[in-house]
Amino acid sequence: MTNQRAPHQREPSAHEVFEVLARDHADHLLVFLRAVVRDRSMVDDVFQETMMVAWRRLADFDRTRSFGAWLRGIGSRVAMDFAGRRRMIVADPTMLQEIEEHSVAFDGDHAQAFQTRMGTLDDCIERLPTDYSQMVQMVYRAELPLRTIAVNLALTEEAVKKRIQRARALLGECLQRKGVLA
Amino acid sequence: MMSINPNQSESNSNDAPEDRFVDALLTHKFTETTESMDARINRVLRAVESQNNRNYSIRKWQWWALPIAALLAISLLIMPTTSSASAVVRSAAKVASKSVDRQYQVVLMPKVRRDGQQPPPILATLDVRDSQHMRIEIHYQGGRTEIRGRDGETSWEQRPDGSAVIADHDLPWPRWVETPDGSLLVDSMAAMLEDLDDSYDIVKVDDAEACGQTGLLQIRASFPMSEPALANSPNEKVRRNPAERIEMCIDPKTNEVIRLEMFFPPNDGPRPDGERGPRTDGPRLGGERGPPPDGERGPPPDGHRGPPPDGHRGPPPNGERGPRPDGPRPDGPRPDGPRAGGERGPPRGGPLGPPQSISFERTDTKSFPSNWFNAPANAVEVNPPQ
Repeated sequence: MTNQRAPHQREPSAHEVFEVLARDHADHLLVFLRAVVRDRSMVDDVFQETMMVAWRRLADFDRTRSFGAWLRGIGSRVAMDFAGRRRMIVADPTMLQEIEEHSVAFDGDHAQAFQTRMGTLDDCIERLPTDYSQMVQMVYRAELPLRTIAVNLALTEEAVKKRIQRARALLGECLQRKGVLA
Repeated sequence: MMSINPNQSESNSNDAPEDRFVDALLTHKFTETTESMDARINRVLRAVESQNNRNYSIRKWQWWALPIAALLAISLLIMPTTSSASAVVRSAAKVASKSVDRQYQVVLMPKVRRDGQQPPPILATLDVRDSQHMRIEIHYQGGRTEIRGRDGETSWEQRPDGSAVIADHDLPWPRWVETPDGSLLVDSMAAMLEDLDDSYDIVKVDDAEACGQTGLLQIRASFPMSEPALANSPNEKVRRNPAERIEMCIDPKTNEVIRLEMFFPPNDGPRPDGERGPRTDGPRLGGERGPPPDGERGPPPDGHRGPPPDGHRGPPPNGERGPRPDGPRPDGPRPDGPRAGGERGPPRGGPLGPPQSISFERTDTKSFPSNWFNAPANAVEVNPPQ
């Protein structure tokens, strides 16, 4: 029997570790930031900057804690800073806290878990009554303006708004029942 | 709390956290793809890599040709903040004439050599009173120091061996200057500012990490570096300014530029003059001198006097050439120290273009003695070779 050493395994570099973490948490971070910021043009910038701050401060991350939560904490501060510079108000502390609670419930802390939870969302969409399911498709998939939807469905814009709100409320209830929303 | 947001999705009419979160989930589900998320991550990773390159750790002190870079940025370092970023640049020339003592730490990051090696950064201390009074201290490895200065009309140089020379007064200031690891742009203060104002997109940076979260105002001057844009530009000044981005951190209380960093395009990227790679076709537009491809400076087309034809470079011990009358000499000490006898070394295979970046960082304010910028008492006046 020969004494064969196991091949030396190189320690992953900080860059490699960060890439894995960033890929695992990018979707969830983006959802969180969209909930906080809602300005589509600003979300992209806030996302990029959040990741850059996370990279610069990676050494500060406590590995015993959730990376996703840490990332969202940075994202909150970056979003507030961006909004402040643009004299916008995106969310007050209470709002931020509640969005974070929903994020924690949704957080699987890795990409596969996120996709599983998005599968749960698919299930919930399928269970929506036709009117609401149709509304989700028109608003989110087709990205039709509310006015266009209202004309097509012979509704007022206000009625369209209420219907899409109701659809989201039903989806929220469904996700809560399935344990992926606070 | 309602968002004041013109780009907000029309679907967001409810401000309950749960509603916002579900809205975000739906938006994500229907708008993001694997490819779009990959693209986002790749942008982040590219930015991380770029940042890493800039954060090169400084291990050694090696020096060359800093006065040129220093002169370039002096005007920008003393410009004020205004509500319009472009107005900042326009007013800079006026403010630059004010006489205030300032000191900056200068870091010049050379480009990667052709053999793939990254030369170490080059550091110096730059003392400035105004555009005519400057003093830059360069420290060689081993503790040797070289000082170059300008006191009004007189430029001088104190060499590591203690000898000192005062420059001749008739040498032109070349626009492009060859250095051991690349070429630097040299320009007058007013022209540099004019280029910025006319040719760069100047914006205030809304960034949570702006200027390292120091509370400083960050201003960014960006130049469109695409070849078509450059080639089609009617502005000759656009073509000759090589910095693709200039970042400035300004103290909003004192209107002082605390940090300025210029980033230059890579060697193989589009050049400001619309070409790729080192210029090989002779002088630049406007007759300014460009570094020739063989790494040696040839005679300029504008009738200005070039370097001596005997291949000497820098002020040799016999005092043939001294610092320029309008600023310190461009061809400063080699990274590995000055050449013996001031002779030119073997060809380096051509100029590499500007460095990666040059940064200027303000240190604690101090006042310099009245004679701080004067030539040393032992300085001798030299004349250029005829």
